[in-house]
Amino acid sequence: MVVISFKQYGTLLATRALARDIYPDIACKIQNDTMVILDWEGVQMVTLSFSDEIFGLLFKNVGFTDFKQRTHFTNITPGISLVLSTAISMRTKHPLGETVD
Amino acid sequence: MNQAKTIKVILGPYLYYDELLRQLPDPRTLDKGAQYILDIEYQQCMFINDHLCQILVAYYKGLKGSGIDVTAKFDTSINCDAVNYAGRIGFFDQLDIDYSYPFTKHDPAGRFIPIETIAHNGYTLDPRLSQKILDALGVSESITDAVLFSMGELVSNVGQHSRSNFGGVLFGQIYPNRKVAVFTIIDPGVGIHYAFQNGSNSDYNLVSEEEAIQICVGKGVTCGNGMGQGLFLIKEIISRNKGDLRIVSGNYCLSVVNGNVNVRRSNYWQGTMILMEFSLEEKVDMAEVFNSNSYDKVELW
Repeated sequence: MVVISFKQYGTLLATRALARDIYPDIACKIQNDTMVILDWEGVQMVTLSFSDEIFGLLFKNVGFTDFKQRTHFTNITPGISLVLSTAISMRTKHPLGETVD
Repeated sequence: MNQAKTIKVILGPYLYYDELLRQLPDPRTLDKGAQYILDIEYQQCMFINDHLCQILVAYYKGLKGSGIDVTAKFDTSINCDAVNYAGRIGFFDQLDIDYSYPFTKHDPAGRFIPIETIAHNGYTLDPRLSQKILDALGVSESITDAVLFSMGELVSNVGQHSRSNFGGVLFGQIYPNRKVAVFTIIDPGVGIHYAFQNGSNSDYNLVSEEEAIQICVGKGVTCGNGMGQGLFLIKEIISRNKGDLRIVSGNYCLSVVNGNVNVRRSNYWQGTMILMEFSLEEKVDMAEVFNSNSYDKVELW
């Protein structure tokens, strides 16, 4: 089991550029068949762009079932949860592109 | 040595932003080989509009970022509360003007976020910034998510769309008497019309400048490298909050007041200025904003 603390990247996670830097590490851990704890303690808000660039792509590349089996979200606020789940849903409707244009 | 050219700006106490824009030459018309002095004359020691200070900072930094040799000038020897306030919000620091503070700098928490620069690559956002926003908001937790989400989307836009040579400038202020919080992000980038004209989404390549600012708050409208949801959701959030939204870009200004969208001509701004005014008394239910606009969600947990 590994824990990824998003607080290390900031408290308001806004940009695709930041997400692109974080993505490889998270994707690597999830694809290693280990349980990944995604810890949101200390993070106050995220944007749709940031969420899409990480979790939208993860859903697309890892798949819904595997993603849910290998990850656990903890200390997430209702606001962040809302934005993340919306971004993922939007990505699943646009499955072919690298970004949702 | 060539004599420096002067860009004269008169900062009156009740100047409207549009009148300030009228005084600022289009940066594209300036001579890159010349030296310029941005000479800010402050009239009447009564009141200084912090939003205008922020515009001047964005203009100055935009000129410098584009390689123009510019120096800002302001008579800081004027000893009055208004000039001291300009110093406290970081106006002189951002303009590289020497200024001796005649007071002890207090923590601005609960009052304002000093004028801050957002990195041009949209990568770094000072982690202290969101805390500063929360501190400035004080106890208004009912709009915290709405404000942070909106700020985040605008910061993201600066990095993703503006093509600004240095980034953008952010400022926030609480007005307790009016019970509002105002946040502004200004970039001296390419502006909304250029972004549509030159974006990868061909649906909007041919829109006019007026149409560009009209549609930029539409759901799913993007120049091509975004989701087209940020400004739309900000408009929805602010409408529910009974706040105000103002977007100035190029020769047009879009305003949303009480949910009504209005577009009119404005004096020219090279780039984009966005002002968000939140009522501190109107709660914003983010789930309601998303649900009422037919955003689906996946069950993650």
